Amino acid sequence: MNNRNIKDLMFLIFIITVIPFVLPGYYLNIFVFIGLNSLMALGLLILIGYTGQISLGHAGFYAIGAYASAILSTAYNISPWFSIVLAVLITAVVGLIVGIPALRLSGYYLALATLAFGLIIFRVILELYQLTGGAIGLRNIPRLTLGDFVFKSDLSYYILVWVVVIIVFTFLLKVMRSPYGAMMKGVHADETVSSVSGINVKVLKLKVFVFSTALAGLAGALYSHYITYVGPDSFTVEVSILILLMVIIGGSQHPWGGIVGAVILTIMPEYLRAYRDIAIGTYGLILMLLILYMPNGIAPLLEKLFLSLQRLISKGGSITK
Amino acid sequence: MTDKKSLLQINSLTKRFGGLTALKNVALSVHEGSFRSIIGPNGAGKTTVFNVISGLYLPEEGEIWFDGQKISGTSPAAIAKLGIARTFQHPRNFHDMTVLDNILISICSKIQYHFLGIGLGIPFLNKIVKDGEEKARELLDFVNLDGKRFSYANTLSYADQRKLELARVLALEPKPKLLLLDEPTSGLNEEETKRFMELVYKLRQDGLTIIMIEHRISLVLDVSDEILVLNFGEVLADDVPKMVRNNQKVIDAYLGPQIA
Repeated sequence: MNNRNIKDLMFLIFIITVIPFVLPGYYLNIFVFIGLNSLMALGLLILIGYTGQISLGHAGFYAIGAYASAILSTAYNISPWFSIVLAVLITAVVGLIVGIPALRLSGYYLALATLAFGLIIFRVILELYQLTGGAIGLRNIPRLTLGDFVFKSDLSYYILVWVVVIIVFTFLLKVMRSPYGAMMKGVHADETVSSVSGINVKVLKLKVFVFSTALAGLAGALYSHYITYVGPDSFTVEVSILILLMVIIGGSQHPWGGIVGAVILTIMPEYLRAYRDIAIGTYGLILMLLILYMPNGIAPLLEKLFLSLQRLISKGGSITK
Repeated sequence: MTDKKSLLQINSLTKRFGGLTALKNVALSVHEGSFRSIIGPNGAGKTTVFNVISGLYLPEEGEIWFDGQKISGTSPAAIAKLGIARTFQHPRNFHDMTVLDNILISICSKIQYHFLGIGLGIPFLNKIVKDGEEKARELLDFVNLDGKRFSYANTLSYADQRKLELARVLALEPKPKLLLLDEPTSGLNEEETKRFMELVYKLRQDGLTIIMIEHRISLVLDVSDEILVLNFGEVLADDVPKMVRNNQKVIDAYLGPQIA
């Protein structure tokens, strides 16, 4: 692993370690959701920022992961750890089935196809009420346990979710900063040149798409064992759009974009709760301003800020040398 | 001629776009290690020949054989992997990427099947990447761009973009056996042309088989073992430079009397 990746990871681990000590307990709950949203946003980030595909249906995959793990662990008594793994695999298979025809489309058409998929999944949840509980949802989903320890407190789940995020982030950093990252960007930039360079464009796109859906499934499964309840309202089109906004606001071509976007767009609604009616309008305004003045998102800006801060500190230190 | 091994064999190739016949019954046989040029007026179908060979277009009729395998009908990626490298009329690179990354995409193309392995940091993949970086620097050294390996491709001069494209296509893995150059000197001045062609001569000396589309007739007559002349999608002549230069049909259609 190269120095840059280690630096990024150390920074993330540092922040995650510090947060429980400095922020009031209420924030741990929010940060569990930030972690879950980060997983989804990271998956969508490599899809949008790297291979250049847009998905407006990630809430559908989030739902499949959540419901699959919920159903398997309640109706079939499968251990939640194992049901999460199965849920991720099930989501990936659905991602593959959706991806094969959908990836023949591109741009707006792919966005529409995935949007439709999200809507269909929402409908299916309502209609298959024997399995999903319909509009009422599923209750009493078992919590994750480790021996006698139950992941019930916000702190324990905070640690669990962020360990998963750190693992996924490590994985993605390696991919993005390897020639594979260049291949993904290449496929987006010029399919013809990519293919005559020996890259199987369709397979590469499909792989990234499936991985992206599997991450949404993972987030969904972790969600269901945290809240211990799943209902259709958590998986609406608005969720898909919110995740998309996280990626764009955070910075779709920057490894930190997903996490930065998730932090901003998970915390902001908490403060805008009293003004729910204007929340969507506010998002729209922020998005417009960002696309106009910061098309690369906030993460690259933060990196610059951080680097100049570092330089300032090291300059100060050099006096003593 | 038949005793030499034919690397590329094109039999009665026809390519149509709707009502337009871009190539009609084109045949071409290229021997290993030879230098073939394709000339002809604009719209004669020269680039179409390249597009069909590299798999970007599917021919309506005819077959293409490369190195003992039938390649017509296979995907561009598969054809590239068999060892056919091509450049474009206007240099095409990945503009928003560093020079080095441009090369690594082809050199490390093997890792495209190991998304999970790359993320998990499996050693043999790390080795492919490390070896690839070394090979990339050798190639960049060859085209004299190693000093600019961290520059973004879109910041390079036109001549450097051509050189980058050449290095990028030579970076194909496994090593290419046939190089298709589509007007490699267009947009370059005399000095840049000379330097670029020196690279091409070196490749030829190393035994690479080359097919070049080119408009500079003096250059073509000078370097080619054989010349294929296309006109309205049909083969007008296919012979050694001396014979092509004196071919009346070629003079009428393309060269004009002053060169002959």
